[in-house]
Amino acid sequence: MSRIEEALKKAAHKRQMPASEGGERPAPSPAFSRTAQPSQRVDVLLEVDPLEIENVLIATAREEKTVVVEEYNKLRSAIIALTKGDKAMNTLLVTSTASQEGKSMTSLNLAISLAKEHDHTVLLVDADLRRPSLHRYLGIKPEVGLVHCLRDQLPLEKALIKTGIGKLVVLPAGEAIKDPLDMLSSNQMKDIVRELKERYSDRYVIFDTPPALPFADAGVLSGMVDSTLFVVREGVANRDDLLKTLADFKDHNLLGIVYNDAHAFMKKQDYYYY
Amino acid sequence: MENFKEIFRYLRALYRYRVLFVTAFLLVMTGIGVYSLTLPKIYSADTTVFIERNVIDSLVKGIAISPSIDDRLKVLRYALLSRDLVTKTLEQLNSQIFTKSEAEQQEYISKLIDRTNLRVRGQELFMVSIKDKSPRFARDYVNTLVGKYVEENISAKREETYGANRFLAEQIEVFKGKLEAAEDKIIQFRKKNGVYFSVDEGTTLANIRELEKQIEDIGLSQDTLRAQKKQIEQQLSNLPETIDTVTEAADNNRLTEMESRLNTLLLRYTENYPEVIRLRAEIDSLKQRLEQPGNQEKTSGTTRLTSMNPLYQELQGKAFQIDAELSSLAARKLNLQKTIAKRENELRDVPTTRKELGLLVQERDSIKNIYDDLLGRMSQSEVSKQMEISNKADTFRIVDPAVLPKVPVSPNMLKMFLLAVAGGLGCGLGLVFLLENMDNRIRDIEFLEDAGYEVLAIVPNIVDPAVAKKQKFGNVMLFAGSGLYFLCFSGVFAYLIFVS
Repeated sequence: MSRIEEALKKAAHKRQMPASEGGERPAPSPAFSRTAQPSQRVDVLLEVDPLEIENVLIATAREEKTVVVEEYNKLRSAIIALTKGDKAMNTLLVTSTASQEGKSMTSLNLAISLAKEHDHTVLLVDADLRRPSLHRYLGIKPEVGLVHCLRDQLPLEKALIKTGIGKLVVLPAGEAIKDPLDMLSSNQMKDIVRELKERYSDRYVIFDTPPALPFADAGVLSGMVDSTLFVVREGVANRDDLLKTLADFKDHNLLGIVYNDAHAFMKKQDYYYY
Repeated sequence: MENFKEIFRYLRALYRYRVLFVTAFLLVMTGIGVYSLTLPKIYSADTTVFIERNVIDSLVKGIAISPSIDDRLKVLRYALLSRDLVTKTLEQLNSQIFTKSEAEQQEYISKLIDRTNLRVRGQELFMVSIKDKSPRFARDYVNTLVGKYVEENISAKREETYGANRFLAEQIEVFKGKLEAAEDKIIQFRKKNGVYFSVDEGTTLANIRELEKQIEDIGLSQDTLRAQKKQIEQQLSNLPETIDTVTEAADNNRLTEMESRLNTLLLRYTENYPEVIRLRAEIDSLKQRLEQPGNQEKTSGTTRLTSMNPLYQELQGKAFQIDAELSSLAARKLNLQKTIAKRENELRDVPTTRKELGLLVQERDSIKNIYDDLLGRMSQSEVSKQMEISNKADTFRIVDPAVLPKVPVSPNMLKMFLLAVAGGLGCGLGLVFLLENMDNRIRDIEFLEDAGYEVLAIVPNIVDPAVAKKQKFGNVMLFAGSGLYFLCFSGVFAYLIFVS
């Protein structure tokens, strides 16, 4: 590691120390109460002990300033820059070509990265009803979730889980179901998306979805959200499949690609390049 | 930069497929190793033959001619590896092949010839070697083959020399006879026409000229004589045959003449001058005679007395002499003309005879040349023969006969070991290369950027310490295990190499 990099790291660490201290304070930020109308509920949501995330993949949840965390912070900045505008573009969908490419991990890391920033509250929705995994990363076992909201008309509030990590709230999937396409493409889903978007108008709502190549879920949902983020994991997706899938999402405001699991040989080189 | 990327790409692939690579490597290596152990052992035997150049050979250069070794070297390959020689060799070795069928024998011999390796180094050495499963056969075969070749060569060389000698002797006999016959012919001819050979053309011609000149001279003399004769005849016709004899008057006249003469003398001389005395005496005697009566009468009686004219007679004699001379000259001329004719005849006959003789001489000379040549060669051949007898000519000498090979030349264990390792590595690397090239999965962000997509972040591989530890352990086990296996494999081959 070069000296410059070390210096940068040190500087970043120093910067974060007061930020995290501020984050730990239970007092609601004045910005939050100023913008949101139903702020009480949210405040309640935030007043919990932060979850202890054991999973190593969720690097942003820990306090150390690693290359991974820096990359997620970079991603966060890019997304903030890309979604800033006159029209609120606060709903974001995360998908990939194949499974096991790190969608959930990316959405979670991005969500945490955003949430740790003072200005942003984040709602992370586990829309992967086929193989929900967010709760596993978080180390929680939710009894209800999105499935129950859609199927049993459960109020959203009941399903939301406060994490205590910044201003991050999670909507888990609830349970795995076999054919969620009808459910996801229903008007009810559209209503929920709209409600989430409007209720948290200045926050980011991130949807974690199943892989886009084998399932239509992500495609359907992409029609309801403002933008799409694509995860590509090294050595997993086939190039042709990837290009095909990416072409499908080009029309749905594809923000860009997160290149995941880059290996050491390339990482360093490209790190400097970037 | 691009090359580095490619190298990195394959290195990463190699690491990714490390288990596959190591497995393929070890499997192929083992396969080749085991195969090389099953290969039959092949032994090689070789012998070196030195071509001995004798000093005497250059010393007697030109005096003796011995069959050239160089010519033999040119056909060495064909002569040494001839079916005939190989068959003889096998016969001497009591090869079992002769109990088999004709076709099998043929094939075996052909293969044996192919297997026999002959190398010629410069003009001095040639080496014969063979590879065979049986070390004993390899040694015996090479030794016998070369021995046979050398033996046959020497005897052939000797035979050639003796044959040449014999031939020359025969030829010399024949030519000697021919030469003698030719000489005899010439002698006969000379005897027959010998006369002509004392005649020299030039001299004969000169002779003829001389004779002709003589004839000419004779002609001239004849003409002169004839002219003289004519003149004399003319004079004769003018002269009277008789003339008047002397008279008294004449005596008187004479007396007066004498007296006048005496007077003249007395004018000058005295009375005692002898001439005067003699004249007086004569006058006296003449006066006495005139006073004698007898004399007076006679003279007065025949006043005119005639006698034969002496001049006429003299001329007539001269004419007769000329006549005689003329006839003698004519005879001589005739004689000379005859001689010329004879000489001319001789000259005409000389060329044809000479030509005939020339042919005979030519024939004799050519025979003689050949004969002389043959005699010269004969002496060379004699020296060569002596050289062969005392074994002083160039010869083949086996300097290094084949010994019983103890170590097989094939399979070369070191080579096989290297081949096994290289083969294993090649197969492993090839497999990885193939897999990497067949793999169409995404491996780099450039691909995405090239396709026009923005890469917002590159999240590096997040290492779970537990997984990493496990993986490390796995790697250690893999490399240690395969390293140990490789060491054992190398050990086996090292043992085989050192034992042999």
